[in-house]
Parts: sequence; C-alpha cells; structure tokens
Amino acid sequence: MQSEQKELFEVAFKKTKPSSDGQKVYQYLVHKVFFDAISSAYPLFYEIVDKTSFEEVVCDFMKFGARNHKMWQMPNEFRKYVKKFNKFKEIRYADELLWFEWIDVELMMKNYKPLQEKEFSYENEYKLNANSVIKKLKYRVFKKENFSVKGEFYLLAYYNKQEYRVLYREISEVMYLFLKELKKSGSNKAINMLAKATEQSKKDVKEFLKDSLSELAKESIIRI
Amino acid sequence: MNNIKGLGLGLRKDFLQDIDENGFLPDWWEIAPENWFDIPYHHREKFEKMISLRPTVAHGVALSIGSDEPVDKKFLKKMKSFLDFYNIEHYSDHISFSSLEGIQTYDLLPINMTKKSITYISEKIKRVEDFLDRPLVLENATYYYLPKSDMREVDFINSLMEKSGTKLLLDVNNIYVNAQNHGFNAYDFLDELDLTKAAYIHVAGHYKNKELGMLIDSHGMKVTSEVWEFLQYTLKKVDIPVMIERDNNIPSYKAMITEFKVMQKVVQNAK
Repeated sequence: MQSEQKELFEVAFKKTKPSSDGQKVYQYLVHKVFFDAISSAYPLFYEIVDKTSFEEVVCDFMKFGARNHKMWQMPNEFRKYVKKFNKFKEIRYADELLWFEWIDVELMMKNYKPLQEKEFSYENEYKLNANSVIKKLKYRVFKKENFSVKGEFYLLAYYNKQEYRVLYREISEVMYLFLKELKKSGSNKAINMLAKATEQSKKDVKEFLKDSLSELAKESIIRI
Repeated sequence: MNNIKGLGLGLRKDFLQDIDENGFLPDWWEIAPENWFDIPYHHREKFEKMISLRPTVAHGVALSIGSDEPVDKKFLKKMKSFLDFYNIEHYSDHISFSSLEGIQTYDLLPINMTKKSITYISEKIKRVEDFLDRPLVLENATYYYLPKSDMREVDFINSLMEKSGTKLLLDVNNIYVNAQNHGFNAYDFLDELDLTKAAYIHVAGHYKNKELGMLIDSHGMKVTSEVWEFLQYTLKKVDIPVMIERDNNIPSYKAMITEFKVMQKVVQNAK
C-alpha cells in the first residue's frame, strides 16, 4: 500500500497530526462529514449530550472506522460502536435513545411493497411486517422527554404508508409478547401461546384480540 | 455520452417531491447512485417517474478508483445491479480515493500524481469497466494537499485519459478551486487539457474557509460569478452538456431552477 495514502488516512482520522495546511483541510472535512451525519441522525441525543464528550466519541469512532459504503448507514455503525464500547456511561439511557432515533431513520429508508388493504381474518396466518419493530425498553425514550424515568416499557414502531412517517405506540406487555411470538412463528402459534399463558380458550383469545389485530392489519403492521 | 444533450441538474431527494412533472424539467438528470441504492417508500414512485421522463446518468462517490488496492467487488456488484435495473448507461466517479482496507472516509482524498499511479489506475479502470459492462467516466477532483507528484495535474489527467481510454467529467469549479489554492492559472490549465476527452461539464459552488486559508469545494452554495465566467470560456472551446451539481445545503427546486436559468444564459452567451 502507498505509504502516502496510509499517511493521509491517519491524518484524516486524527490518528496523527497534520504536517501541512492541506492535510489540515482533510482532517476538517472528514471530521465534518462524520459529525454532521451523526449529530443529524440523533438530534434528541445531541441536544442532551455534553458536546465535548460527543466530539470525543465521534473522533474515537472515526479512528475505529466506519465500513458501510452507504453514508446514511454510518450513524448506525456509530450507535453499535457506542453500545459495544460502553460510551456515554453517564447517560444511562444512551443506548436506548440512540436505538429509538435510529429506528426512525431505518424504517424511513426502507422500501416497502405498495399498500394492499385486506380485511383481517383469522382464516389467514399473519406475520409482523417489515415496516414494524417491537422493542422492550428500560427508559421512556419514546416520550421525547423525561428520558431517565425507569421502568418496563414496550414499544411498537412502524412506518405509516399513508402519512409517510414512522409512528410509535406504547403497547402492553401482553401485546408485546404476542407480537414477538407472531414475528417468530406466525399468528396461529402466537394465539396458542397467549391462550396457554392466560389459561383461556383460543376462542376467547381471538375474541379479545380481534379489534387490535384488525387495526394492526389495516396499518400493515401485520401481513399475511 | 450520446444520450445526454443540453443542460442537466443533479436530482436530489431534498427537492424530489417539489418537482412538477408537467412543469420545468432539465434536459437530463444526474443522480448520485449510492444515495439511491435504498429508496424510501415515499420517494420510489416519483424517482422512477422522473428518471423515466429524462435521460439520466449516474455520478458516484464511493468507487475509490485511486486507492492502492483492488476495487470492492461487493460494491461493484451492487452498483451494476442498480445501473442495470434502471438502465443507466453512463456511470462516473472521481480521480481520487475514499476508502482503504474497507474503512470509509465519505470524502474524496487526493492520489499521487505519478506515472506509476496512471498505470495502476488504468488497469483498475479496465477491470471496473469489464465488471460493469459499461464505460467509466472520471472527474478531475479538488485537492488541498498533494501527497506525491512527478508531473503537473494537467499532464496527469491527460495521460490518464490517454492511457485508460476513459472520458473526463470536466468539473470547471474544481479547476478553479485548485488553481486558487495552488497558485496556477485556471485558464492556462484548461488550454492545456485535452478537451477531446471531455464528456460533460460540472459546475458547482465553493466557499472560502478563512481559518484554513483555502477555497473549499463544498457543493453547498450558489455557483460564483468567477466560475460562471470560467464556464463560458470553457464552452467556447468545447461544446458538450453542462450541469449544476449541488450536494449540500440543498435549496428548493424553485431556487435550483433560478440557478439553472443563470446556467442557460451563460451557455447561450458562449455560443
């Protein structure tokens, strides 16, 4: 490998000091690309974080290295880096807030099949759609305030094809477990699981879930 | 580049939804393919409609043709599949490098301007063209620091085009910025450039960074009057398509049309 290319890389990622004004420009430009992409992907996090420590972690991440050709994916690599190396220890909910902000980007950037509204029916087997994610959280990061309130929260995030945006719903633990099983094994097994866990008949569980599942199907959160 | 004629514009997500397909459209579009590998649901239909209405060329940033290592096959595969899917015949990138050992800078870094680089890059160009099954066009890039050089930039570009047989995406803003930063005359540079190899022209904005003491090729503001003048001079020497490239701080489509009309006047005045 050309030592000049390696040298410029080291400078650009602030591993070594620039030896000329020109090298300084590359340090500035590469840092700006990383900083702008990361701070704009995580606006809530950036608002609350200490700016000096944010800068330091961004620089550490640059030195660690981002590998995805697609620049929009780079902030996700940053998020994984923060989690893996336990950065921002002083912010207990950092991992969850970064996840919450990233899932918005990820669900927005996905391509989905055109909307096909079909009425819900128990005759069909349903799975969780690719536009939806469920997550158990320790902090209420989805409320966009009072992040540090600790507890057990269950979140459904999904891309709404009519509004062209990601919507969030806090769901019950029962619904979370049901959707988790539905994602893994489909709706029939999820209904069986819920009937067994609540010691109810499948018929009662179906009756109990009917309105919710109809709405989830209407929103394309679950699909055949 | 026989499928594009006249004046083009970079198609960007930022103003995609503002475009009225029955209203003003440029003669052709240029897209940054890496930015469209993943097309959000709410943009796909409009994107596909727009590129069906006008000839479209692709101008990438992540090929890293100048890095001293083989081109990433996975990346090339993705690029080929994208270009094939949308039937985009022309693909370009920059005479620079942006990644090493899989690590990305997301910026364009300068390469050694040496005879050795010409040989190495020419071989890489051939491999890329064979893989993509289409010619590769390369843009003269800005550089703020030159790692190693045994020739002038203009000789380097001419020799690279000659040896590789590739066409040049002539970025007049980049010539202007380099000339200002490195103390040479942009007009003399252009006079020495082999313009028979030029495929089409980019114009873009730059700004002066006082702290760094250099002009920065930001693609984030309006084209300056000096660059418009330089474009006019260029067009008197070569009659090829021209487009405005805007990648940062992207304004409304309406504002882009206003700047497009400035370009129209410059082109008319050059004739």
